[in-house]
Amino acid sequence: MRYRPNTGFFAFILNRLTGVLLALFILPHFLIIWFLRDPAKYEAIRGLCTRPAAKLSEAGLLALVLAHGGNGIRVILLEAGAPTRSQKILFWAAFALGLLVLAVAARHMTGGAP
Amino acid sequence: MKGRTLFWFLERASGAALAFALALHFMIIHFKGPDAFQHGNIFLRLSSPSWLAFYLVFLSALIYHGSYGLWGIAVEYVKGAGALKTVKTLLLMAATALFAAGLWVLADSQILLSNPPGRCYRCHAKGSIPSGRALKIPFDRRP
Repeated sequence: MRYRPNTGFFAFILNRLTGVLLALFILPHFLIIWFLRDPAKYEAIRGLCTRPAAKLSEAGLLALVLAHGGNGIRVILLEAGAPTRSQKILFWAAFALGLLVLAVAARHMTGGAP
Repeated sequence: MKGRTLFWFLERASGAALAFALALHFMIIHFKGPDAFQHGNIFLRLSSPSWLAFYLVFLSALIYHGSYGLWGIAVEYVKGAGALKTVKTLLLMAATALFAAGLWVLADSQILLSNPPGRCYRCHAKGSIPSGRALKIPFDRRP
């Protein structure tokens, strides 16, 4: 397999990387969900979520979701018949929209917005 | 629809479902702060059949999309039929275990919610659950 560094290649690598990172994130997330069966332990873990590091990781998680989701929707659109020549535009549109959502949401999540 | 085409279609369909489900998940949980994922609030949401159905679809889509995506990467990079078979077995085991854990939590919530008022939440018995003030619904209103 040969790779050529262009927008499509960058989008492909980004999708792979964010997908693997999200898959790795699922494991600790399921562990927290498992603790729902024990309210005392679950509430103790939830208490950690107010820490700045937790807020930052939450914003990081959102960035991963937006990057993977935006790219995924772009792939679905291309496979559904969107012109191939629009793939660069779609990538940068998803990127810009993702950044915008991330900026607004991260500000909100870290308590910077009303 | 043949096997591989069906798997490919399900990967895309689960991806589209996840885009919607994750947007909703972030809006109701992560954007609302730690109160939104209080144990009591999550259980109150699970008392609604619509939310229960939503989480079942969310769980299924997540497990399928993640495991099939990782399988796609493995097919490209793992060399040798034996190694690929091992990866496949591990992925299937992990997917089954995670799906079962998710189902267990959802089923457990329904068992707890079906108990009589005042004793319907495990947390009430231990006195460790915060009140439902974030949703403004007292817990003892549960049937």
